[in-house]
Amino acid sequence: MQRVLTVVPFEGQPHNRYLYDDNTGMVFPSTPAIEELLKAHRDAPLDAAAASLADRYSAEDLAFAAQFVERWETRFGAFYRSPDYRPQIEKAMLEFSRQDIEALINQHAWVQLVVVLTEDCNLRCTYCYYSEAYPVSRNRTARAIPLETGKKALDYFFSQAAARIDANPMRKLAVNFYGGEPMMAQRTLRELTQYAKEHSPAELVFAVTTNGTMLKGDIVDFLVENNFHILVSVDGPPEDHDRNRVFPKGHGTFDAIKANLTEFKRRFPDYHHIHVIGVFDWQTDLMRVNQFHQDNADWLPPLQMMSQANDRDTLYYERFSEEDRQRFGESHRQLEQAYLDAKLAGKPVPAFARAYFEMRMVGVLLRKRQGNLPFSILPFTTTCVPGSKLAVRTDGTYDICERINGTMPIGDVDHGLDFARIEEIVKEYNREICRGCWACPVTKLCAHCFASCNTDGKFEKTNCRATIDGIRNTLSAVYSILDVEPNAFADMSFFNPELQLLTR
Amino acid sequence: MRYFALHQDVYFETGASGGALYDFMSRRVEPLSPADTAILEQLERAVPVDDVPGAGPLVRRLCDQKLGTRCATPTRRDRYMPVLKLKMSGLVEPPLVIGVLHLSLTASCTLSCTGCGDTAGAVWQGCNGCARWPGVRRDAAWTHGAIDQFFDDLGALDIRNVFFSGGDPLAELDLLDHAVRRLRQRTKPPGIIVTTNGTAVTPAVLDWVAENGVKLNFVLLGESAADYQRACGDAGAFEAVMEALGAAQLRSIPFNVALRLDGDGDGAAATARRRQWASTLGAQRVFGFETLRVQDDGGVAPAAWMATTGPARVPQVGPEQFFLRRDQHPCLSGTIAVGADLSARPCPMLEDRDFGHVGLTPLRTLLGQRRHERWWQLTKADIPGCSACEFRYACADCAAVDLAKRRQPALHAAVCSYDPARASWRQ
Repeated sequence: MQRVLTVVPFEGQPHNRYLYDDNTGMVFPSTPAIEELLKAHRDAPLDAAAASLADRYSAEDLAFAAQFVERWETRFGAFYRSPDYRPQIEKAMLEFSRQDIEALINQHAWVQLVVVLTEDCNLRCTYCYYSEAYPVSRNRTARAIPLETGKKALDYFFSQAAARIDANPMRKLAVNFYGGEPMMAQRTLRELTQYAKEHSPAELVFAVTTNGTMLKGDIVDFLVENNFHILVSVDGPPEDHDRNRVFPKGHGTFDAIKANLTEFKRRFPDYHHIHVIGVFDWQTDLMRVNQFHQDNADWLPPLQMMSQANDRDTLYYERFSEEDRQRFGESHRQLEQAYLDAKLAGKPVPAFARAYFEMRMVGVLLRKRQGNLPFSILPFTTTCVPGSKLAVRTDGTYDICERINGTMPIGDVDHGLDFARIEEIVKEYNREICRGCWACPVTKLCAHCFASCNTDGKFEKTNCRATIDGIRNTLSAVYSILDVEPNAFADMSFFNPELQLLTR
Repeated sequence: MRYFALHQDVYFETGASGGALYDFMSRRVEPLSPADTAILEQLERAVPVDDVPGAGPLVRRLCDQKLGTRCATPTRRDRYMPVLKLKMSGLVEPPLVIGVLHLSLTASCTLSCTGCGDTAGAVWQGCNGCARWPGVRRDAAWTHGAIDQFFDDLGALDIRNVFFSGGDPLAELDLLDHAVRRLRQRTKPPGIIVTTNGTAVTPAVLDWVAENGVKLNFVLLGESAADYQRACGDAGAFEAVMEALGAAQLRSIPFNVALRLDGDGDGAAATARRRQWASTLGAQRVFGFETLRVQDDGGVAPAAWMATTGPARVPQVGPEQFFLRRDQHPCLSGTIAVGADLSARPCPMLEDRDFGHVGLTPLRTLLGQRRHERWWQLTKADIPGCSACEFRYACADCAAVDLAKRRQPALHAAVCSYDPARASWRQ
């Protein structure tokens, strides 16, 4: 059986060829001779492979290519996976025990508890994941989490996290309030915050994700006093924001949010734990949103994340035409060009363009490399360990995270985590999503996770070819910048790992 | 137009004047003259070979040595392990691993060596010797209660190895036994090494060593009774130690030997002879250590091992050591030391860098205060005398000498004969 080649060729600046190798996580300058030799060497000894290419490449080019391949293959295990790899990795992925998953969770989970305070919301956003547009997920209801349920969830989280803190007293824990709209359950938010402060085994980081329309009055003082990370949804200027983010009677929310954020800025000009998160769809004009962020920095908090409205299991995208897609594609290209121009000229990059492009590039820049091994139980994709971002629903059910659609609960506040169920879920994920990953050349860069592949109670594989192409494009973008400016990403201060963990 | 590119597994580091190429494939370190360093710096900035005066011969040499290649276009070389400065704390705090916990349960000893605990000089490569813990009173010792409290407070901290030293830990075997029992009760028992001068190693002690899976590190003060007489005034101790070594060998108990190299100033040949002698004792590893003493004129006699000098002194280095030394100090990172006076320090030899008293504040709390972090994150680039040296990531020299004795710069010269400012070796 032939060995599998684990490289992705791509180009940086014109004619600068590179290879990304998934075994080592390295990117190498490449030549056509190297790429051809790697293919020929899959099932032939290196000498024979080089000889078979003698009519196409010069002796000097082939000698260099052979020397390069030999160095990295023999010393660092680059470029190929042997036929033995598949049965070995599948055994590790599919035959682990419940004790194994329990040990993994206890070692790496218990970082963050997401408390869904209420399933109610004062808005009716058209792309809301908890609306009729997404038939698989729950809909908005009037349910709120009872105080006792919230306390039970905190007690369980803290009791499990204690061992993690015991092993490293410098670690913090996060309690992240989510909804619905958490500001509709302010009393519970206050009481659970107080309860958490009194019972946590470690220093706490609080976060809340809000639509911003109720971010006023006493609650603002409370959030600031407790140093909350406040994440406010703003999609852009009124034309983009009010198209989707609306009150029940259909009018836009932009003005209300702007008034609240302006007042917040006036009262707390030096408060840095407030950020904006945004959503885009095919009708978003990215250049306009970019300009909006540049023009409104006096009241608008910094942008932390831009994400696309969820396009799985949804009726939402039926409203868009092919022209919408094309227009969006054009605005994407324009923004990309503006971003590259600024980056290559060494000029400041607009904050929006940074959030839109560089957050994707972070995955490439911080990729795992040689010696940085994945978990044997979850060797592929960059999914989290279940329990690291534990979400509790209003009825006390636990989910892997707040973004999963609710069809795969993993326990509840009365019984704790159901490790047998988690074992089943992880094995199903490995079976359904990762079954072909043994031959994939981008396992260290693939961003799929439980939430992104979850449909109605099961996992569904996405288009891997599109994923690989997307990663190839990102690699090209990163290296076309590095070709011109080798220190372009030396300053990673724009990337805050803690904030990323709270918003991912 | 032709460019030159080093292979990706070859790292170019510059010093104050010269440079060095670290070749991970062969693990060798290739020194570069100041002139070649200046040329290579230009080639690394993608200046064509033909535009750099004098580059031709250097490029030919580096290509012949398989350190790099000529290429038609300048390309970006991705670093094997880039330095990306991210703030990984709080929620994203990486696992805390204490690689080595040094514990001195008692400062008392069965021997009385001249210069023991002397704070005026410095112990060179003393990690495996016994002449450390300067500044601790000789009558200091833990109690059983203090040991219990200390281990209760440790909680689930991940501790990989515990090195007991003294004084001589076997001088108060009941304390040592108590501590070792507590360590063996931990969910993940650490490796245990006991450093001893060997005079208290009896058959009963060896039974205890075997039963508890402890490894011994014998500190030898010389190769003869005369050496012992000179070092501690007890010539008879030599015979006792030799008996202990023989008994350990007979019982197949693993041990290391740390040989004191200084003391009589009898030169490089004698040092080599002693090392050779030590290698015949059946030890798994043989270490050397010596005490550097500041003389009245402020000078320090060169360390015994400094008899050889020149590029041959630069050790081979692979990628693992290179990146470890680039990103952290190989012995200070992950190390905590707690002395017989219950004070915690970054290393047993740094007597004036007190973290706190573990009898008053649990070690976990001290770690939570992050006072150790500066030491754990220390690299050779932070150490005066090493920061401008192109060989800093090949060299495994002890930082404690420089760090603890900054007002005595002669100490650095006593252990290093390379002058980075001139890119030359002192004779």
